[in-house]
Amino acid sequence: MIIRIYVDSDTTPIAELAGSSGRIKLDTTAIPDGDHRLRIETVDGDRITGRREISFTVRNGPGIAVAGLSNRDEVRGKLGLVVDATAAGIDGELDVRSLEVHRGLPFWTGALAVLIIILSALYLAVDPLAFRAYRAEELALRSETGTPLARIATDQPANVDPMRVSLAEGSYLPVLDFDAGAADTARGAATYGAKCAGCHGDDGQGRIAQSATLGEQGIFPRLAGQPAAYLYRQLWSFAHGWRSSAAMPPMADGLTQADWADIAVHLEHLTATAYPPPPVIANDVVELGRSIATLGRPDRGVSPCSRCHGPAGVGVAPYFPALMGLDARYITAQIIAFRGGQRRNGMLRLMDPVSHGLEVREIEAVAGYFAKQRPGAAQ
Amino acid sequence: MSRYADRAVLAALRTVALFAAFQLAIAAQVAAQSARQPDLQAIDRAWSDLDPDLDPKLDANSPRAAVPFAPPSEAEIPNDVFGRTVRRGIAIFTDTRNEAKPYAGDGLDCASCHLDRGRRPGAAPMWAAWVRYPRFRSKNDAVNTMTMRIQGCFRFSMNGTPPPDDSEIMTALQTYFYWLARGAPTGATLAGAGFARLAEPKEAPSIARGETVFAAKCAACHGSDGQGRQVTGGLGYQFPPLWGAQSYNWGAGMTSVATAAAFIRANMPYGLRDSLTEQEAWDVAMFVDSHERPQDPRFSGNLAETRARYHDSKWSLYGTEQRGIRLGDPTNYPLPGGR
Repeated sequence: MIIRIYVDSDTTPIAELAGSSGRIKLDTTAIPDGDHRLRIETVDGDRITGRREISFTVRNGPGIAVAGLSNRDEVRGKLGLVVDATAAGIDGELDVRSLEVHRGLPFWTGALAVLIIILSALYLAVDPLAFRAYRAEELALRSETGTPLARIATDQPANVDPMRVSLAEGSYLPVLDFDAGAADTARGAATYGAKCAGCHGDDGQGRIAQSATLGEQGIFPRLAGQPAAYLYRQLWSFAHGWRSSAAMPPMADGLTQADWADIAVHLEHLTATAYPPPPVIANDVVELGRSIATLGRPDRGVSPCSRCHGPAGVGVAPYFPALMGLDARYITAQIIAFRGGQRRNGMLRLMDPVSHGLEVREIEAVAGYFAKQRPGAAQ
Repeated sequence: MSRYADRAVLAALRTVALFAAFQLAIAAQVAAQSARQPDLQAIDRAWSDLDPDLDPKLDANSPRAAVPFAPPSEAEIPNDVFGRTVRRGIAIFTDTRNEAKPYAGDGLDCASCHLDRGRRPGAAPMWAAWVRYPRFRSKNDAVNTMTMRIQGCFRFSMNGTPPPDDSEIMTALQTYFYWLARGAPTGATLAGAGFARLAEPKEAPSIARGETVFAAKCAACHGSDGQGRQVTGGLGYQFPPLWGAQSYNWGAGMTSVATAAAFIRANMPYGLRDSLTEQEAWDVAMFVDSHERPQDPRFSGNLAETRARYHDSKWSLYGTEQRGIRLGDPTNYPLPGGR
């Protein structure tokens, strides 16, 4: 028996083996690149007794890559193709660059690039604005001559250390008698609607608007949901000079103590009033604010805000107001007022060391942090 | 084909067996843990001193100079397993009622007394406590450990159940203390350790004067009824209750008027340094500790005997009658179990 081996349809075998088995060498460089067949036939005498065919592909030359056309693509018109056959043959040196196959980029890379560009544009459009607003506020807090905040006019005598509160009788506003049970909320709602809603909003949501009485732009804080005893204490303070304000003292004076109580209890019940969208504030500012709010600055005698105002400034009835969701400028202005002595009605003057121990940028940061908080979850 | 089916069945069986083994191991561990109940007698012995943190030999005013130390900033907590455990410890420390629910028994958290998350000098800061344990105390002729001390806090100050030695609660709390005290020298007294003991008051503390001080300077936060304030929605106490069912029991160190006065003088009203005189602190401490609170868990059944054994001090009002109430009378706050 002889085994004859042919390539493709050649009639001359490339090898002939005597016997039923043996080894041969197939030199693929002798045949052109492409698809071929190996045909093996066993011959007994003149008769072909067995046949087997094997298909194979030779590729000694460079790989050929084509961009712009794939198998079975449907095409029309003129077609631009990139053909790349720079890869080295088996004997040549490896050309690393040629290993990079030229192909079209998949669709999602384009989408990703567009997304990145949109996000960058948004960041550029929004964040620097917030930053500029903060700079403007900080500058506004300094006087025209650029006096730093620490030297803002204060009503306190110069020889008093604001970090050491003496609590001498008469130096602080004690807890006031306030009977929420005696208040008439319906009357409170009516009085509020007539006297207060114009500036503070129908639902006590607070507004930034033209003041009806002063004709000036003003920040009218959110009052909805604040503890009634706290609100009553504020009205009492406006009327008795423990808290200064351009608009409020005459408003409080024009009402009776019973009115104050009615309004306070009415407002305390308005817990469902919606909050404005949270302000956009740079992350590092919020983080600084959070750190002051939750840890304070014990080395400077500044207690954490959350100690009295509750987690995320949710407020602790009856005396510690919610700071959550208040306008950042309002919070800043109040801390400055505590510092300057324009507001002296704080519980046990607890705000004295806090307002004196913080720097301007810290006051703004903590105000921003609280302005950003919303019920449900600390942000 | 059937060969592959056999293999798949074997693999599935092996997975199930492994899973079951894991479950068994976990169950065994849990069983072992619950079997190791804290030794209440040892905890009580370690607690037996009424003013454990006012040890005169370790007092800041003693001739041995106190070593200054400042704990690391929380921004330095690493972001690894250790750091996560430290953070867990902080969470338990500041919200013990909720984070260590099965063990806490009243309205207080660790941070109610150990202010600023156990960082504040003069409010028994944990960085100073950590380097004072374990230590030998002649009171009970034994080496007292931080674990026993913490268990004492749960049993008395938090009127609850001591967490087991190897519980996750204990691990997290002590990991936090360890982190706070990193770099602190052992064997020395750190400045700000414990509560700074006050000198004997000029005038004997007066409950009546204390009541006036309380109304003017404490009631704003703690309430005129001393029951503290809760955040709307009942997340927990924002200002801790000072007496009554939700406050520390008669076994707590704070029931000593001397301890309470030292704490109040140095730390209250929170955020106002040195605003109370020493006399005011003594008076208001006397007023606070003249109220009824949950029974001492070591109560033997006999009030006079329990007082003689654990409260034999002029600074304890346990067993005395105040405003018509016999403090510590078992009918006021009976111990669970009916003793």
